[in-house]
Amino acid sequence: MEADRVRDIIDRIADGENAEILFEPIDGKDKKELEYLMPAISKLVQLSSIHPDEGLKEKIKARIMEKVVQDKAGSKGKLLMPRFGLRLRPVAIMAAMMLLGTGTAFASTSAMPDSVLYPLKKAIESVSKNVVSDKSRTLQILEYNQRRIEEIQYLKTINDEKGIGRLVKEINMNIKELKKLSRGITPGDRKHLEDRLTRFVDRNQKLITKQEAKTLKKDSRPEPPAKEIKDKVQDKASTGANDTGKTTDKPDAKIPPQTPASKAPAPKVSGSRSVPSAAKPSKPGTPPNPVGTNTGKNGR
Amino acid sequence: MKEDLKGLVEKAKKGDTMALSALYESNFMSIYRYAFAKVGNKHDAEDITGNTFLRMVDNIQSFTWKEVPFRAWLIRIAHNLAMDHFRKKAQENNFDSRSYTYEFEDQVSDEIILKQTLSGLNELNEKHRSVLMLRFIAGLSCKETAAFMKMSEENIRTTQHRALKQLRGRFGS
Repeated sequence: MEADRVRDIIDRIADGENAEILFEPIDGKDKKELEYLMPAISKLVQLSSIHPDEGLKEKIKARIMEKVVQDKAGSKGKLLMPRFGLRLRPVAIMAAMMLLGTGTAFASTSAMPDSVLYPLKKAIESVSKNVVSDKSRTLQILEYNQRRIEEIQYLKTINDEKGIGRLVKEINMNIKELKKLSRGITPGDRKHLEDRLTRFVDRNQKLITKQEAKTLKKDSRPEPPAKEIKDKVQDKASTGANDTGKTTDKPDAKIPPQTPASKAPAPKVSGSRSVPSAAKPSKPGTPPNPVGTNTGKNGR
Repeated sequence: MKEDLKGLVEKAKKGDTMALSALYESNFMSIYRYAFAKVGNKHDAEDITGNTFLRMVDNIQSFTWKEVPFRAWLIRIAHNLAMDHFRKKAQENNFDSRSYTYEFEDQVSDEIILKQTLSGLNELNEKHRSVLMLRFIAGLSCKETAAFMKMSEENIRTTQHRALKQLRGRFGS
């Protein structure tokens, strides 16, 4: 009976109950035994202080979610896969690996809206965004905005106005979400976010300058003075920065003036696609095109 | 609570990412601690934890409630991965899993005590060590431990008591 009492108490401690409270009603032989066992019990309880490195939990979670999305995409694809005999199966697998490679996820991040991998890219973005902390989420959203800019550039080359409109809408929604998220982050993180946002706005400026110049040229309208375009761009950029609310206290001060001297390194479009129109050098008379080739995450 | 868990597992089986995410969240620390106590260093513990959950995603369809509770099933996966790890190490350089030392690398504040505890655990026989690790480190309930060890709950309590006595004996007076 006494042994039962000691076992019961050990059991409750293992379940996470407080050892000190449990000691109250015990005495005699049981008390002595528990006192003897307590150093071992308390050392075992201390093992709960084993903690993984910060970020490991999210890192693994992102891996799992990416796998889930890929598995889902794979299971849909299975229905379309032709059936191969046993002898041909290794050949078919090899061929599929050569076509898709092991870098489906990598390839999908550079997939453009008309690509078959684009829905996978969007699915991974959507899942990844929902499984991380607010801090990581803000950075992810900025990254996704940058991708949308790359996609807009590409869609311009194929004159997909509808697609561009959709992406612009998405960027605006992302900026609204950033505004919400920025309320809950620490000052240090906010500074980091500000820097990233400033770089994003800076790139947008360049894109807008270039696209406006193109539009003006297409319409064969007389060239507006360079200052006028510069003011327009700065107005747009300021609006974009203000849209993000508390993330930037003085957005205008952060945005460098749009002059050739403020050229940022020319980013590249990830993946194999190129954007021919953006690659053309600016002609004399057009406003400066600091982008050079095109914008992209690799050029950050 | 059990109903909630059952619901989550059923949803996860259908590919619900939120359910998978919830299962991951509620079991992450258990698996990591168990893996760490098993292999003794954070790098391998991280690998085992990650691979355990990737296997969970792959094999959740085959999980049934008849055999073991869900957490015990996950611990089984982590345990098998740890065993694979030991086998691989043994093949590489005559590694003996019973005689290795723990590497903490600022993992915990009072590393001497923890090192002593884990080394003490390592000297116990397999059954005693497993029961203490499952109960105190992985945080499995008595019922879950019983299912994992294929023993009765009463037997687990007795084994736990005996294992503690043995562990205490190794720490001296």
